[in-house]
Amino acid sequence: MKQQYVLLRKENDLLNSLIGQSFNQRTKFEADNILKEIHKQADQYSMEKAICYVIDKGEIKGVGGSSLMQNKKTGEIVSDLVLNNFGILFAGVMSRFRAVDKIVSLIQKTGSPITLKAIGTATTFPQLGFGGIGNSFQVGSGSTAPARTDFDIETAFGTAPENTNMFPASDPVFNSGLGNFKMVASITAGGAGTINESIWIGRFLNTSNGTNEYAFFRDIISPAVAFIAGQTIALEYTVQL
Amino acid sequence: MKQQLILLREENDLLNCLIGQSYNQRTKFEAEKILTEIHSKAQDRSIGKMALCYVIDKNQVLGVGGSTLLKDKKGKITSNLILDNFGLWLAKIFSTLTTSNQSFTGVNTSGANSPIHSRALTSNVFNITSGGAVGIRLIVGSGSTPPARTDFFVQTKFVIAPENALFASGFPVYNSGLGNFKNLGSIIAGGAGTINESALVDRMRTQASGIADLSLFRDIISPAVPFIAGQSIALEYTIQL
Repeated sequence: MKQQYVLLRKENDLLNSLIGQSFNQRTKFEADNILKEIHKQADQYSMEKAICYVIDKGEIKGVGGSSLMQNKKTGEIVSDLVLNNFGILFAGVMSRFRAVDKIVSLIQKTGSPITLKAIGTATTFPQLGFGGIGNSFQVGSGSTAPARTDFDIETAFGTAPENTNMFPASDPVFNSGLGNFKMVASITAGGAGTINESIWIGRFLNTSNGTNEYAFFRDIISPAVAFIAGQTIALEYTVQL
Repeated sequence: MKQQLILLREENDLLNCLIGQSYNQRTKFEAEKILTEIHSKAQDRSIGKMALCYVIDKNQVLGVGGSTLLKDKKGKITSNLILDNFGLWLAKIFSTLTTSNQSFTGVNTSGANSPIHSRALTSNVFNITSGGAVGIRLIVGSGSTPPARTDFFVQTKFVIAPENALFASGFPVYNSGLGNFKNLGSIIAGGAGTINESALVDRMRTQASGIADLSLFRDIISPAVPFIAGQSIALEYTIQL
C-alpha cells in the first residue's frame, strides 16, 4: 500500500546553523539534538534517524537529516518510516516459540522477492559460510517521499564510490543509558551531486544459500546536501530503542 | 546502570472505562487507542512496544491494564524501556558486513550470562532450532518496581500454574499499513493474584549449543489487573516500527 505523505523538509533548516563549523563530537551532538527537537512534533515516531554531513578539510559544508512527513489524509505527522522489509523480517524473528522453520519473503534491492529463514533448523538469515553478512548504507539524489514498500534508493549517483554501498568502519555498540546505537560510514566523493535520500541496507542469507541485499530504512535528507569531488560524505544512522 | 524512574500509574486509569464490556476486536482497538493517546505525552519514546493485559470472564472484560509511563528525576517522561538484552542483540544483527562471527552476551531469566551468536559459521546462531524450539513467549507477574534496562525477568512470578510460567503467543503478522506487529497469548488462571508486570521473553540458541531464555521487554501494567482461578488472562505486545 502506497502511503501519501507530504515531506516537511523546511522543518530541518535549523541544521544549517552548523555549516562552517568544525566536524567533531560537539557538532555531531548538536546536530543530533537539533534533529531530535524537530522530530518531537511528530505524532508517530519511528526507530531510526539519519544525519548526513559533507565535510571539507574538517569543516562542515552541509548537513541534513531525516525529514518529517505529514499524512495527506489525516494530517498526522510521522517522524519517518521503517520499510516493509525490516518489519517482515523482524516480525519473523520475533515469532512464537517454535521448532519449525519460519520463512519470510522480502523484496531485494533489485525489486524481486526472495525468501529467508527468520527461524530455522539450519541456514537461517544470519548464518555465514556463503559470503559476507551485515549492513551498509547508500546515499542518492531522489526526493520522493518514502513509502513502506520502497526497496532501494530512488536515484543512485553516477560516479563511484557514492553510487554504491558505504561500508561502516565499525560495528554499532548499544548504549544502555541512552537506549540507542549508532553506525556511521564515510566516503570521499568521486563526483558532484546533491544528497536528498539515504537507505540502510542489510545483506543476509536466503533459503537457497545465496546472499542478497535488502533496504530496511529509507530517509529523505533535509536540507539537501551538495557535494563535489574530493569532499567527505559521512552518513550516520541512530537506532533508538 | 539502574535508572531511577517513577511510575506514572494513574495516567492509565482511563482504561477502566472498558471494564464490563465484551472482549472483542472493537474493545481491543479502543484499549490500544487509549494507551497510544496516553503514551503520546512521552518526551522520549522507545521502539514502540506496548503491552496490554486483559482479564476476561465469560467474554467480559473484568480488568485491563497497559504499559506505564515513566518519569525520571529531571522530570522527563519516557514511554517505557526496552531491556539491554534487546539492544545488545539488535545492535549485533545490525553490525557491519563481514564474514566473521558476531556475538553478544545476554543475561538469561536466571540472571546468568549467556553468550549468543548473532551470526556465525556454525549452526549455533540464535535462531537455529536444531537444539529445540526457539522464539517468543510471554509471562505476567505481580512485581511493581519500575523497569530498568538491566532487568532480566519479571520481578515476582505467581506461584500457581500456568500463570507462574512462560506461555506461548500467536504468530505475529507484520501490518504494513500500520507498521506494526503483535504477539498475543492467553492462559486460564489456576489461582488468584494481581498482575502488575509483564515480560516478553525470547528463547535463543546459545554459542555452546544450549538454549537461553532472554527477556527483551518488561512492562509495569497499570491499572493493576486482579484475577481468580478460571478467568482468562490475555497479554498482547504491540511492536510499532
